[in-house]
Amino acid sequence: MEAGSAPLEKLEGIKMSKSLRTKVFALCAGILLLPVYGAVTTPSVKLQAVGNKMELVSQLPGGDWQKAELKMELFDGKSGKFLSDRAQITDMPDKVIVQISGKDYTYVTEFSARNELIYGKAVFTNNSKEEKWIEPGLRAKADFSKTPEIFWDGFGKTRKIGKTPLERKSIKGVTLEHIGSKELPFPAAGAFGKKSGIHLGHVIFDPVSYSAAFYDPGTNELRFTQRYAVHPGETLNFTWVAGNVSSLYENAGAVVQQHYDAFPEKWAVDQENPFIWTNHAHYSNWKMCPDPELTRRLKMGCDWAYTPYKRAGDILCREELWDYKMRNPPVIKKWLRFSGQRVPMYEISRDDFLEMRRKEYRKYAQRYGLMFYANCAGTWCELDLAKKYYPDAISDQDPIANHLLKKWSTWHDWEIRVFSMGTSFGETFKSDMKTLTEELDLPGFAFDCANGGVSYYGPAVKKKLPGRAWDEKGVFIDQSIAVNDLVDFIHTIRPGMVAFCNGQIKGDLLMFERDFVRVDELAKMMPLYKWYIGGRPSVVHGGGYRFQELIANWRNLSQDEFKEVMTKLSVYEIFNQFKYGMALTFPIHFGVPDTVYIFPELFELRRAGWRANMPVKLEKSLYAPYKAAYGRNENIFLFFGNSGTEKSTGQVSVDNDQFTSYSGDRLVFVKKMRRGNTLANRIRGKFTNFRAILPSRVPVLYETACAINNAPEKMDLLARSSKDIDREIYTVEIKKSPEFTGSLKIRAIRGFDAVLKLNGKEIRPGSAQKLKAGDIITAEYKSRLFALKQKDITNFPFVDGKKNVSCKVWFDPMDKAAAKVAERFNEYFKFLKDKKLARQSKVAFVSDPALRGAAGVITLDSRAAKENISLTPAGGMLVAANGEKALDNAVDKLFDRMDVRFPYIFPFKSVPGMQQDVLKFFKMENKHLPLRKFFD
Amino acid sequence: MKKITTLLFALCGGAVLAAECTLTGANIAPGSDEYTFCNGIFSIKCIPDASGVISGIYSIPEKRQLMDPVQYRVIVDDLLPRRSGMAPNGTRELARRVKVENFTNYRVKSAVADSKGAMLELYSRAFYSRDIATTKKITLPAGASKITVALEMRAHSTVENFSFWINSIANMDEGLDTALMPLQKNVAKRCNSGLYVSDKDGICVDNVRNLAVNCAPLKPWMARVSSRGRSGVMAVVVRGKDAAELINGGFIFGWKHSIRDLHTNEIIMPEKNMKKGEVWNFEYEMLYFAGLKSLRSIAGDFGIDRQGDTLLIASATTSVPGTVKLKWATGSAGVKIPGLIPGEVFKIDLKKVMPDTSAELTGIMPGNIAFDLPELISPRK
Repeated sequence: MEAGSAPLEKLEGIKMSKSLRTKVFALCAGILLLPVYGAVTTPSVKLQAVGNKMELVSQLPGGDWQKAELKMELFDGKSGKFLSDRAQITDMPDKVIVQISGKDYTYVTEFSARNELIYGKAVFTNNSKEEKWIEPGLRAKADFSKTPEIFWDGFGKTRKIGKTPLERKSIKGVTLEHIGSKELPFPAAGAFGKKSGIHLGHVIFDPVSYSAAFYDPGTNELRFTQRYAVHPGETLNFTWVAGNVSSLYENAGAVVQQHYDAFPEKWAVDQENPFIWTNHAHYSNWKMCPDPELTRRLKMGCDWAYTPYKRAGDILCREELWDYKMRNPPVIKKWLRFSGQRVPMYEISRDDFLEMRRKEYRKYAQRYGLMFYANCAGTWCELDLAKKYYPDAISDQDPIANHLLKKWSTWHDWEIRVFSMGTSFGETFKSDMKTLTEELDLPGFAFDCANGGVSYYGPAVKKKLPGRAWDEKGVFIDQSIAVNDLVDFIHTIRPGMVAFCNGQIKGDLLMFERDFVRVDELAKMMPLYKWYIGGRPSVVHGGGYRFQELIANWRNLSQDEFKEVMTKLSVYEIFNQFKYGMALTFPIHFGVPDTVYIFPELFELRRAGWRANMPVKLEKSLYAPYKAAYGRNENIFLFFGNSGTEKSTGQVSVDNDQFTSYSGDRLVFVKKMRRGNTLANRIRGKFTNFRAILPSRVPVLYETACAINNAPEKMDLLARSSKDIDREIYTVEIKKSPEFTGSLKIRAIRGFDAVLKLNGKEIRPGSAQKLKAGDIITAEYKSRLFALKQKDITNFPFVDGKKNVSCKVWFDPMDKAAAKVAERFNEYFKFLKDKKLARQSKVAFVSDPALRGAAGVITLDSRAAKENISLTPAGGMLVAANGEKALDNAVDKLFDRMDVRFPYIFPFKSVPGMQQDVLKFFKMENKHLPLRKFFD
Repeated sequence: MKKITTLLFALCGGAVLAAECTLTGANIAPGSDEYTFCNGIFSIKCIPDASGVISGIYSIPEKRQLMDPVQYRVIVDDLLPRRSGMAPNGTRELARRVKVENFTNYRVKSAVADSKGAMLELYSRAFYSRDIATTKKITLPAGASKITVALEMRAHSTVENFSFWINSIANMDEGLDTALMPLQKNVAKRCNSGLYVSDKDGICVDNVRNLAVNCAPLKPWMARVSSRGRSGVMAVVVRGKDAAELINGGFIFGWKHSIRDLHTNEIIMPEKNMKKGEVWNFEYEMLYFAGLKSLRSIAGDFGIDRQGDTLLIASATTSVPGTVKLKWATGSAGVKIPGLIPGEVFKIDLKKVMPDTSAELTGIMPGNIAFDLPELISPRK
């Protein structure tokens, strides 16, 4: 149905209040008497059809624009002309459908609401017998009260709007590293005033090889396009996004956040995956023999298992491909190392190599998360191999990228860029990944330099593949689409497979191969890189503190000055980890116990999901150059870092609307401490205010105690938390408030079951409640694992007064899983003995039924119905779970709590970024900085 | 015009010889001072904090900036160590494997200016991160277009593989400066670096933008001139016994920026191992010959060039009158030269001295300093 001709009576079919109906009629009268039909409404923007036009209407109060005409365009790349076929706009209650039909194509877009965004699902069908080169676009002409100030083209930096039109053509940003791939833009573009902005784009990780963004200050028109090559008869699906955003706190970041909130599934990662939510081992478990307790204490969940192959492109190491002429002379020795053993690739026989590889992986891969370094994300192949077997995959026609590297992944070969989707290489590569997963029992693959911005024009583009675009050289596909295709493939190999990726692509764990201390590089890469990562876990793969590099004149320092410099550096690393939600690796942790101390909080916040927008105002007196927010809705965490030398105090004002997508929830916060804390909150309109005290150079965290919906304009509340390992209790006392009917929500805490109570009576989260001053809201969390207190573990007789191991581990001899997991206690005590915290390295294993549950005995049971760690009546400890993995996990958690009883600080030692001569000079070998315990 | 320039040099130099040289300091960034030396002929700048970099060389008689002043910036952060940086410019010492972004933060030990010249003495407990206490003396003598840099490097502990390096960037003119590099034939490698190999000795004249020319030095110096024919030669020359060390084991090169008109003069000394307590005294000079357009030889403070049948002699300091002995295979001759002041060029018409000007010519300058005149070589592209 064409909107302009729709009968007004149709409105009667839509349930509307009288006042709304009046408003609609008034609005219709106001815009040339054109009727407004169905609309897509989100909390911040509405898309409506007015006559035969589409209009975006701001729903944000006091923004810089109120209305914007939204046009769809379609450019024909072959004729070089815009197709002028008329659009038909069809309205439905929650959808607007736009159909453009020509004589040999149809282009239909269905717009609907996705959280705060307008989301368009587009379908283009080429009914002709020729391939079509199209460039569909969106144009939004907003009625900005004055010309917006900032244009964002999707890359990391915004530009000021002047008189000249601004644009970004193609998705190729700055070159990243030596491999020549490019930075990719976030798939959006926007124009922003001081208060609000408008933005257009498409959904993240869509297979788009070309997009462009424009802003014309002359017409105030924002334009966003995508290019596709469409086969005859092909039906192509792609997406659009449009939105309105408050720019009070962030501009581009606020757009990114709307994408996160609208498409959380695009960034979602398995919360139960054991490999990705902690640190990565930075080769220490790959090149060295893994140390189980070092790995556990430093929380190294996986490792980047680098180049476990002889020839790039042949990860399987086929017999017929094993012997070939390496191009680089053997003088270049970049030894491959498996757990401390050097592997001389020039000399080793295939059989020996494969046996060694199989043995190492089978032994360590699952336990230490050895991610098989998959040939640079399938984008490089040894030159002769590619020429002979995979010529169709060679990608060497993009004039602005290098294609041949004479010393790359293995160093002993020349490697050429290849394309892994729809090519012979891709087919083999996928098959090899599958075979290796089974053969080596792999937990996942490591994809290095997994970026895009390099166009493949080879023969595979003729196939029906996603992301086919066109330019003056012809049809091409961007490399990132092939890499994302491989990431998707990894997930199909078997459940739980991890894609550990160094790049702006899909993946389960993302690597940032830069150092925080290299501020110029950080400024270049951020925030764009982080926007891509979003709420996914991410790790930094850097060079440690780079002490000698940062302080060229370190020999001029005294030991005290060294300690001061290192303390500040460590605070810098801690603050940046919280700022970006990224975990650093072991070179940062030796000698600096604070960086290890923050693990639980850092990991918890990172799991909640880093936010690109932190809608928080700080009083001027509050000095917090480092800050970040995590989570959404009622699950919010705030981080503040005062890098100055003095304590800083002032008011924090949290804009609840932006944190909760205008849900009406009002958040109540409490300072996040390990044993609990108290915080007075004041709700004032949409803001929650509280007074923050930020000590010098200490991370300060806040967490939500509860969310109150339909709260009055003014409320005063006092939030308290009380925590132990078995139970956490959050209470919120309403100090001042008029009586009102509202509802309450509480946070989900991982590993705990929650009960919400009002004045001691259990209530259902979200249910309507009468609330008034004096009411007490309680969120009680009970651990699903621990049924004992920390003090019970701390006081358990693991060792006697002389540090002799005095506990015993009991398991049923028939319980093989328990017997296996019991070995971990030997690893634990061996570490303690090595560190002189215990006298013996072994614990006695017993199976006498009489000793089960006895005093001083730790009973392991892998056949229990559910996980449980508790004290037995006789004074023993029970560790029960269902199955080996669950029991292993429970023991892991127990060990974390035992570490409180047996703390160990890893002293300074020679690691990347902190050389031996520095430590020697300052006499800091085997010493460490003080542990500050700022969350206790 | 040349006469006017010479006159200006004479006026400036004469005035200064009779007056005090000056040395003044000013704060330019948090914790960083810049010192300005002046002897009436040269005004130069030095930032102790930035490895004692010498920059801003200004020829007062010519009103000509030979080396732009360094724009030094210091960033003070709450948490990160103080950071400083500058665009590549000036003359300073480096060490291989030390990032060029780093500096030795010298402090000033003494600053003296009198009628003999201006001298700044700097000290650092370490040379970059190497365990070498370094005293650096920068002297601008009165009435001279030369700067002397003397370093005393004392190893606190055993120092291995210390590769000392002089990095000098000036701008003699618009466009890419031409480097003049005395080149030793048939040497392919020095200090693990591949070298440009020539089958004959000579002065390599390099201004080819995308060509890397690393040379085994025939002489202990390298120089730069305008590539557009403007007069003036700026040379960096290693003095003392280290001159032979450089020739026998070091190398020289000019690094060029691929787009910008940046062409460096780099002198890399052979790697050195120092025992604990060992002292290494190293001296180099920057000599400026305002009247020359090219350079074949440096003899003491004299710069010597040959253009066809004319031998050109200039001095970076005020010289005394003497005799130049010229020698060729079949004979020799003595030519009297007057005392020269900086900026002045004395020309010898060889046709009047030698029967055959195509014969290879060597000579001895007053003060008994020998020189030869290697031929100019263009590097192969």
